[in-house]
Amino acid sequence: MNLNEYDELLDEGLISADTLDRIKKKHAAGLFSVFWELKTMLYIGVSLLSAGLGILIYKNIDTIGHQVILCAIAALCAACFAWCSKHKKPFSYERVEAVDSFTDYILLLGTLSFLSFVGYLQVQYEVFGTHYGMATFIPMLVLFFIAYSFDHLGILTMAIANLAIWMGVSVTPKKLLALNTFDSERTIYTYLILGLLLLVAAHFSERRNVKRHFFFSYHHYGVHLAYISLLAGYFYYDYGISLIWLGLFAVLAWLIYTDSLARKSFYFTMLTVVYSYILVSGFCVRSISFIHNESVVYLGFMYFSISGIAFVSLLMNLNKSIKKL
Amino acid sequence: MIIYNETWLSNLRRLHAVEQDYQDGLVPEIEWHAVQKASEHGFYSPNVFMRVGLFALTIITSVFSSGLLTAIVLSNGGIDNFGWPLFLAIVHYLALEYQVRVNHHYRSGVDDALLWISAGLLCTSFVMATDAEGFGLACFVFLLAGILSLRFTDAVMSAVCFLTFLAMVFFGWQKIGSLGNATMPFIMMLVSAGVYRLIRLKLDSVETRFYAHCMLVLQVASLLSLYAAGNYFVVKELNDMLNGTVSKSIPLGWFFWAWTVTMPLLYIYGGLKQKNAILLRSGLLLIAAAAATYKAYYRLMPVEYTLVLCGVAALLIAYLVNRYLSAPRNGFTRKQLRKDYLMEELQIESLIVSESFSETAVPLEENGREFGGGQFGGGGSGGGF
Repeated sequence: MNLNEYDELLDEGLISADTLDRIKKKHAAGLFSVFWELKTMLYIGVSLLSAGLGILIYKNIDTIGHQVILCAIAALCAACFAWCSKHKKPFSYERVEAVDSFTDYILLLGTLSFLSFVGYLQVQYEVFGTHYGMATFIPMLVLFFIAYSFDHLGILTMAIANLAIWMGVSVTPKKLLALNTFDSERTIYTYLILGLLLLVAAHFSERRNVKRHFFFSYHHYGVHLAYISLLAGYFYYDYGISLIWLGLFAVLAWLIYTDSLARKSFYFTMLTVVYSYILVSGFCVRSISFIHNESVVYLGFMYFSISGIAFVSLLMNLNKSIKKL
Repeated sequence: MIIYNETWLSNLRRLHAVEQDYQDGLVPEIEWHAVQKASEHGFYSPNVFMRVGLFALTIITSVFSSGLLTAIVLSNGGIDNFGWPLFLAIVHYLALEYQVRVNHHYRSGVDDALLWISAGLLCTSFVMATDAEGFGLACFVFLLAGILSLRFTDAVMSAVCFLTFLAMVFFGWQKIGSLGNATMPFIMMLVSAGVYRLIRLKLDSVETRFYAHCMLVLQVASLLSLYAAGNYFVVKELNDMLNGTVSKSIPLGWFFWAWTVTMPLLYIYGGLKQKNAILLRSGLLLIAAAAATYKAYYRLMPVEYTLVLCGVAALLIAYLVNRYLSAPRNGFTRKQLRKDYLMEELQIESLIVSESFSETAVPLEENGREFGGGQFGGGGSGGGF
């Protein structure tokens, strides 16, 4: 909006001359923020550097020697953590604002080089022997520790991802969306337990006021994993048993739905509706398919046409009611 | 031309502007409430997450109800001519007009979905009717996208309009023969620069006041196409494709190399000088394009050294900028001036970090020595226009 339009606001008596003056001064000063440019640069820097170092080590392993490589990684890691500790603000259970973006990303670089260090130790010297669980458990603990002590959301989500890896599953969208991921009972149960665990962690953070702002990361992964694993369970079992999963889904969906409305979250409400839609559609299609003649196709098409409209109006009403809250 | 209620659109524009000033603490609460009260509108524009959900559900509804209709019609005789998609397009367009005029949908997801489906069906039916390709198709899509962007002020539609305009010029200019092919890069540069200039001139004018999104997207698109028109890789490969040759070099190669390398720097310079975020970010993005172009023809050193050097350079630049701007200087600040709703609500930065780094350098169980390497996808995905 240009300044003439602000003049109109003044003419209509909606804003005072003082306010207009303040706004004009701000426009004249025109402070320009390079916040996201800086962050992107840091992100690219850390990405390229860690990828480049990874390949460098892999290719030159025979010429430089293992000790040299280990020392180099350790030195990089130590340098990063030294920088971050020097600039660290004291720990608090509340949110601690980052010193600046640069320190944030140096911490990330340090963490990545720490992971490389541990990984290298395991691959080369098998420090954890064949206790593969330990080889992922220790880094996970360290990640959680760094995330909490430095208050770093990015490292927290990495820690969550490593928790999944320790439990033997992966939480990357690519893996979750792949059709063959949920082909065994064991995987489904692991994902379900992980999802519920994260939901509990989310609510623990919030209720006990331990880094409340970590709530979103836990809740985000928890909600997706719990819904996806319940859906996977529903489609995995035969019609009879699948009804139990349907019931479980309904209970969880109701809990998350009421919780999302209470916190006025459009995002989690939308997720609940969309995942529920998949479940309801699955149930209807499976039920319709008991009919063995060609009308089944028409019924299917009709179901999706009508249910689509029904869920559209449901979402529209929910949007209105959240806004009113 | 515009389908929406213009008073409501002005009110919405006002609300957004004053809301930002209110958040910056420039407008007292009581005045903000007065502005809110005086700028009421009846649009249904849901929250962005709801918009995504509504978009998906509308597509599902449309696909299955069209499918049902098609199945019924199909069982009663053939429908293999252009009339059927045309009919469906009209039905969808009428639904769109109804939703917007009667239910006052405005960027609700429902209208977005109907807009794209009806446009897609209309193009399908046009192709089926005329077998058009190249110039003819570009003209049709250009006209269609132009009308729809003007009517629905849709930003992505305006980008389609611009791209098909370029295609139109391209195919049109090609028709004049070998001279056309030889001068193509310059024509594309002229057209892109002309469009950019025009958009900049009209940025604050009264006619474009409801097209802010379109103007933003058109600036980005014309800047990128201006660069691409003279990029060495694009020029050389396109030239080979048009002439059916495999060349080692191209005439005026030095000029296109200079263009490839200096344009991003000029964009960045201009962006900083004018404090123009669009120019600046386009320039930063195009540095990557310039580097990729260079790498496509010359091999200076192994990839890992390139990665390490670029990584160190990026961190170094970031460090220097960070230190230089520890307090705001020359009108620049490293601080975030305004919270971005989507970035905050989804904590996008942490999700990107997790997505890029979570599985790097994790000790592997089965794959043995496949260590490090890792992924570094998504460079620049933090920027976002």
